[in-house]
Amino acid sequence: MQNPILIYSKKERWGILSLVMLNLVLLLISFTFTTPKYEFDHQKLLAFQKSVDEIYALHPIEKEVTPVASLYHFDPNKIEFEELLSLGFSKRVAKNMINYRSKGGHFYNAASLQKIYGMDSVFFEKIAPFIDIPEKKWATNYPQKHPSSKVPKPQKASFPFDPNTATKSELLSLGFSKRITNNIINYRNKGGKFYKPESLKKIYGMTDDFYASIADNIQINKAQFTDNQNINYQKETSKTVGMQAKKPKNIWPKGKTLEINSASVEEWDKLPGIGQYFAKNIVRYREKLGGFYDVGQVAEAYRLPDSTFQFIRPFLEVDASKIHRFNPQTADFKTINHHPYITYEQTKYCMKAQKGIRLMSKEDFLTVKIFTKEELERVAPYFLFE
Amino acid sequence: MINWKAHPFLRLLLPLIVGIWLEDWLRWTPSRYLFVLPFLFLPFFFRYVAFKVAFRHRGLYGLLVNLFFIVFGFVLVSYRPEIYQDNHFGKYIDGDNYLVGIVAKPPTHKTRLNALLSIKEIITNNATHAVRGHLYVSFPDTANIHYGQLIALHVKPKPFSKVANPYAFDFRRWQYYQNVHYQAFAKENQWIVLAENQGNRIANMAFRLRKRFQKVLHRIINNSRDVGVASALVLGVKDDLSEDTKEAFSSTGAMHVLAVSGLHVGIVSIGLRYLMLAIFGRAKARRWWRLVFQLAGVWFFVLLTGASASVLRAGVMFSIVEIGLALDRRASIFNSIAASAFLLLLWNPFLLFQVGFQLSYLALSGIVFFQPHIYKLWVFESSALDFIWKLSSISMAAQISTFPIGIYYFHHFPLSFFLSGMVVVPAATILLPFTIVVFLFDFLSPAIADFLGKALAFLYHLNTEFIFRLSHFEWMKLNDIYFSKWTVLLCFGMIGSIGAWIISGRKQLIFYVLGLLTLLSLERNVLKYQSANRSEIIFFKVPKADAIGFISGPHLAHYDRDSLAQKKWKYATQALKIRYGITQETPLSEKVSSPDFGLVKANNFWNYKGRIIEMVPPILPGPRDFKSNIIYVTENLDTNTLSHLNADTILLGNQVSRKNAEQIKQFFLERDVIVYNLREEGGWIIDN
Repeated sequence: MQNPILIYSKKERWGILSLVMLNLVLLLISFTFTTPKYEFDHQKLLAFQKSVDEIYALHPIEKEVTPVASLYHFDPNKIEFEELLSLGFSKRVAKNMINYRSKGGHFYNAASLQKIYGMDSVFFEKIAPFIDIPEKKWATNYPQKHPSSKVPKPQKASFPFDPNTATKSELLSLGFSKRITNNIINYRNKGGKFYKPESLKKIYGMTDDFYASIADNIQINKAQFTDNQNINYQKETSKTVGMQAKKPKNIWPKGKTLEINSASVEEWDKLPGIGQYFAKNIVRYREKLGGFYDVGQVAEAYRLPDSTFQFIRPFLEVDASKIHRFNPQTADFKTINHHPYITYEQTKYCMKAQKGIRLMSKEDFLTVKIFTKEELERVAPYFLFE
Repeated sequence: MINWKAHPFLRLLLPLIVGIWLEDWLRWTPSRYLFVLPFLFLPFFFRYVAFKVAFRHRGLYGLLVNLFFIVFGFVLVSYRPEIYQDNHFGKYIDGDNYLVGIVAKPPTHKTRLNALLSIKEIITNNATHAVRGHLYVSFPDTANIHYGQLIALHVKPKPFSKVANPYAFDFRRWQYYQNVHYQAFAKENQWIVLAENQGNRIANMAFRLRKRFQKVLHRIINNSRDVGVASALVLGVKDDLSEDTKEAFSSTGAMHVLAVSGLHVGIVSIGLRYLMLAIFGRAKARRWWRLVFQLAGVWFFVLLTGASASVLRAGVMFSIVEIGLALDRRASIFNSIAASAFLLLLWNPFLLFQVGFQLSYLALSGIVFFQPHIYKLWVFESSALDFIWKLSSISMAAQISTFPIGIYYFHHFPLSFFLSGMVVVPAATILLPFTIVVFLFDFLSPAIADFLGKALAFLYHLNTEFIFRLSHFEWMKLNDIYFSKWTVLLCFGMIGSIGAWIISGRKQLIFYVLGLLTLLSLERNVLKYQSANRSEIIFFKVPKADAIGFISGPHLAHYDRDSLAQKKWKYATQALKIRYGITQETPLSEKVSSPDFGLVKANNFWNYKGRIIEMVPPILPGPRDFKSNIIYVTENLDTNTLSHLNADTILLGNQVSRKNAEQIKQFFLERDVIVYNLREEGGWIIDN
């Protein structure tokens, strides 16, 4: 298009020219900037060098001559100080490694060497292929923080055993840790008995994984339990603290069973090992729950010792139809919180879930993470969904 | 010049920006009553509103308005940093504390997992306090942390450490503008998750949706590079982007496509506008229906991409622009842009200092301003070519208004932006809606989605391949450019003048342009002169190593003890080298001296142009002819030997333990010696 914009008067053209020239001059100038070379005052420099030599003459220090390092395979957990130096480690790093080991440190994998203070990555890369640590089993997972606490587990044997009679060495060879073994022995010494394999789970320190691995080998000889005169209190749980061992006075007629959902306090009292106190507790617990759906729940009654429960267990039966249920999606705060299997926190979440815009289906409600899977299984019989 | 009356918000925006910038520069801590200041203007406004402003008083009124917004911006920023709030948890910290907080943003993954927690409670020795504030926590990378979790921690919150080295990236400052002031380091077993899904419900839904769509993308696209690009483009997920992908896009000027921002929201917004026109027809009466659905679609997209700051910003921007257009087609688009900036700054004044905000608005203003003029320069008969030219002109317009800031932050200028723009922008325009359509189909029938997905994957592949091929042309990447703040200002001045020249047609404006150019050349000369005559010693803060740099002009000689890993050195010095215009780098070995350079080494002593640095240990007691200027301590020292140290300054190197550093500091407290701890204070420059 026609450009009246670009037509300038003579004065303007001169102005433009001078500005352009100015810019070009500035550009040329920028190339002339050079860095001045530094001229040392030779006198001063010589004096300086002389002084330094004198100082060093006064203090002969073995200069850290790094010998030509030859690389060879080594185990950082066993290697000696001088050998480290010959590999090219600086004194400092070598000293740190030795210190670390003397304090109980262990290098589980090559990479943990990098964390030694003073270790630089370039040098590490050089020597990394020569680091040989045996027992590569732990190469990947173990953190270096508490070197003393992780003790490798020896291979365990596998044979059937009765936890009530197995000796200490047998337990150890089965793979039980010292702690668990001691706990089992203590428990037995106090008169404890394992009536069923699952009771082993209750021993302090027992993990589910380990239990699963030995569960098949557990063989309990039921014959040892027929003598019911030797009931002692086995576990000092918080429930049973302070309780005295009692010999049951009453004899329960053979064959009679108690229906736990409908039994009254007097009927509970009649059971051997149960008196007024426990009867009231059991009934009170039943009210709170809204009824039992499994006999095992009776054991959860306040302060009821496990031994007593085991004793009366054969006499109990349950009619689960009489449970009082509620709908957690519509029930009020008090009802939900009242239930022993539901904590205050969980009740709060239930109330929150209730406020949802659409009433959730049962699946949604149950998948919202209020309860863990185990808790949910435990409390599910009390829920009634529409 | 500019018709201010047509753009009222622009008039209000400028003083607001001035006020915000002013307070950030001054950093006055707010007094209790500072917030009263803006209210003092009320009587004047009332008088001028209730009674009309006399024409002769119009200047005063205008001045008052401007002053009001300056003060308003000032006050806005004064109270903004959360540490000034009454119940910020910073007030209760004493060493190790128990804190309870909610994960406020999806965590990011680097070597460790970093999450931002919004703290709700802190437990000190005596009591539990309900508090506010954000904490940046670093978790081990195997931790299972995600958005919305309620976490209890047992950690030691600390303020961020000062910037590690001169001109290095200042993390503390960056976090300051994110309004986060404390960080903590969590080791294994120092936290437990109390609850899930505590965050915003809408955000939760958006993140879930995003995860789902990510899976769809992974299913459809097989090439890992392309998947990363697709995730970033459509979903704003940067985790799958590899370093070379980022490098390739960045060096070809196509990076803006990978960060979901104005471009993407714009594509969605405009795309939806056409869709609404098609569905509802062009009737003016229907425009509100069109607007409602258009905005709903835009905000759904915002949610989908995780509603990050830049996307929210773009969302607000386009919403206001569209509302403005619906209200009155004749209204100025500049006004809408300024209005959206105004609102966003009211909401968070720190946005002004964030790169994304600056680039967004500059780019958009540039496009709106320059694109029509560039487009007019060339007319094509073929509508296809015309379309391509239209897009190119947009790309060029955006580049004109953003390159100064781009160079300022990123130190490079990709010449190939022109080519890349011509390909990636149309590609994004097609790929973005197409991908969303595929997502929607996936809800109905994954089979159809897979079928369409094949074409989609192919298109993505073409796009990514093109960028990678383009990035092989090294000559197109101009790197290591340093722009100072003055340079940026002068550049913008020039751009503004050129713009004014074009718009108004006043040819005298060429003098402004040339005048500014001259100033720019002058400034560049000053920088070059400084660079050539620079003589400095820099002591770097590098983890577990020591590095000293000697600078003479554009030449950097550096001495590393225990040979520093390349990566650490690069990280500490990259920005510095660009700033100083370093063209030559020489590593020094133990034996070398370069008297020409000004550096002489004698055993453990360095003499750089007369300044003497002594490396300690070994400690050398006894009389000597000279006094060392600086003693650089490389390892822990026995406190009994400290009295032998004799120098003006004692520098504690990176391998001195904290305890020992304290001891040394204590020792020299009474004597007239400066003790500088590199690990605490950061790198140190000495002019020599």
